[in-house]
Amino acid sequence: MAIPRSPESPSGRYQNPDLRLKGGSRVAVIGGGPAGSFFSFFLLTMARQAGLDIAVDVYEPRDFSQPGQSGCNKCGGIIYGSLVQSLAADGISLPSSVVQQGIAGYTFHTDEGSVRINPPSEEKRIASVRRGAGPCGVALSLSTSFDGFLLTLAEGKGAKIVRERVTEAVMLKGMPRITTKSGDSEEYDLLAVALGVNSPDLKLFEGWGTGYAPPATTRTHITEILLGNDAIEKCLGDTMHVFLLDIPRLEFAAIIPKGEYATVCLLGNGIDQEMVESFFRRPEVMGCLPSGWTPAGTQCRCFPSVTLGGAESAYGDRFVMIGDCYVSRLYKDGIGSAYRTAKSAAQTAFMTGISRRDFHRHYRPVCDAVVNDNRFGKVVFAATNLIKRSPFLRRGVIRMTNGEQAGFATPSMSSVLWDTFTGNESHRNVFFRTLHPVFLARLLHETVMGWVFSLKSH
Amino acid sequence: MGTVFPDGEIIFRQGDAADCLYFIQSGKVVIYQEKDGREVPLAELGKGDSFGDMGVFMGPIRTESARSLGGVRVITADYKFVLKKFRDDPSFAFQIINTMAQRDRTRTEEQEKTVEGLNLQQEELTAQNRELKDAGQAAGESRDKSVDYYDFAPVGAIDLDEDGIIRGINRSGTAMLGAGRQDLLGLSFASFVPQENQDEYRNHLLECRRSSEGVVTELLLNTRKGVPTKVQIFSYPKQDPDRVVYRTLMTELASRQQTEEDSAGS
Repeated sequence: MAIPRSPESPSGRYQNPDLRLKGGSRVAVIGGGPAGSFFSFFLLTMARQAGLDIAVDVYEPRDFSQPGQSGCNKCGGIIYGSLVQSLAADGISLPSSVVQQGIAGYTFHTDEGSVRINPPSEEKRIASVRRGAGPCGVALSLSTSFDGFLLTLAEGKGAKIVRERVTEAVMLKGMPRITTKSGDSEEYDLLAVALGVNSPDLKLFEGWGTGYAPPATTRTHITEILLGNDAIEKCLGDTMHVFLLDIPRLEFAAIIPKGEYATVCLLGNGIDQEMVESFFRRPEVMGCLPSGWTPAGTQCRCFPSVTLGGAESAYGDRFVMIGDCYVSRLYKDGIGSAYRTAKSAAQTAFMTGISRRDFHRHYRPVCDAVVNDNRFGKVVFAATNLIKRSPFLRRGVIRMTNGEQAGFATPSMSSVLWDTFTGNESHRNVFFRTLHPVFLARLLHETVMGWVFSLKSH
Repeated sequence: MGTVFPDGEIIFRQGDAADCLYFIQSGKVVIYQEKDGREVPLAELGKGDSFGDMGVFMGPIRTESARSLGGVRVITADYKFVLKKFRDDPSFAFQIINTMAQRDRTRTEEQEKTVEGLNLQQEELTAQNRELKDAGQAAGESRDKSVDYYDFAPVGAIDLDEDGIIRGINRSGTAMLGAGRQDLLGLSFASFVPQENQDEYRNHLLECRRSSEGVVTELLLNTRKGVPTKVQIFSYPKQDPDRVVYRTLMTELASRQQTEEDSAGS
């Protein structure tokens, strides 16, 4: 059937005027993590600039000022340079109470040695933050939760925070209706779902309306270790420690300094307790921790899931999913993904419309770009795994990086390693840089030289 | 996080290469221009503001200077980041344009305030000028009146310089001396004093120079009648920017005596 043309539409395309946000529209956001807060913040900022009165209700039962897992969104808690710059450009300044530590560089550890990589800029643009108010066992936290800070920003723009759990979300006569645990029921013009993949409430939307299917996930591990300021400064300093270890199914392992704590973050395929114990047995890891320390005493540990791909049918008329319940970058920059998807969804809803077609045309390309980039990411991490398994390649990488950091060559391997494990550049960008003939020639040269020297030393 | 500039530190100076934008995370920055060795403040910026964009968009050289005010923490973004951000997020361009427009509006308001202040000053100056002109006119009128009083006074009045040369004389004076004003100006008053009274006249002048209240002397004067006439001269120092230093008033004693007799009779 031909789509009727609306006479009001200047472009001649059909646009249902009801499927647009206007003065008095009501928007529900389920989930007050970074994606939900960013979405509310940007939507209300644009509405205010345009002089539109839009009401935004954010449903978030968790209290981010409480230490422990009840107020935590369970991730490494690193904000990368480009996101810090983007936030600054949006007028969002991260206060010092939120930033646990400015990260001055990365130290890569292999069994062939360690190398520190300094960032391209002297300016500290990587921040370690806490998603909640602190690890389990902390009675009174003095630090501010990053998620709590963002939620306060959204509230400052006019969002109403509803401290209740949503028990039911349905479409009634084409309009979203939300029911909370206390039995209150509200109708909205738009529903934005910003739940993490670890939220049990995500099940409410599986197969919902549009046939939403959550993205593929994998299990990770996060441990908070209380070391004290002196030990942190002595053992870890102000760099993030990344481990390229030959442990099966382990894709990424890092220790991140955060005040008097260190956050251990393991990402891979099906992380389990056995892999965690194997990680803590490695001398490269224990060398970064005070002598005599054992993982037995750690109180705050969890095995959350992270998004690997993209979700199916994550939007419809008056309905959009944002953050990692739709898509996230592979093994890194979950907060950055939340920022990008939330901002794009808010711009689409405000500037174009809230129909399925609007989200498909203007929001989906942003999410598809992340999904496509993750394909390159899988190749990059496969190459990293190859390096981790091959002692010759590991030696070659360390030799090449050491030479670059000493100023003997342009930092090509350093920048590849930096951008692989930070969120500054896309996986695609990293992938194509590794294909450069000069890069490959130098890696081959350093690998051969490393092999020759090892023969001589034997 | 970011880069910290302590209080008073220059972040960039006018004429430096413009290679990045700055976003203020905390603290304050003053933007100024240097003109003729003086600092002309343009704006004071705080948390959430950006600066340095003019250099990035308008050319490779900074047109303004920026200094930390009480310490400031900034995040920088280079030209590549800005271009990439424009491509990926058009709302960023809006943000930058909004910042520039707001700053432009602030500066326009400041300029309007300055112009308003200048207009007020000009009005005040015009009013003062008008008052001065009025005062000058009043003074001129007063002077003219004084000139009239001087010229038509019933006694002879002569303005003498320190050498006793006639520099001014009223109508009564010319009538008493029996010559035209133009003929008398430049003549020595002593030439009208007979020989026997020259000493008295010289003493009169010397005494007048010392006195601030005036000196009275009676002497004979060669007047229009051709015979010496007894007159009383009263001289006093006169404050004047030109060379005249004495004003001498002459009264014929015969006339005076007659006037006194007329007064006594009535």
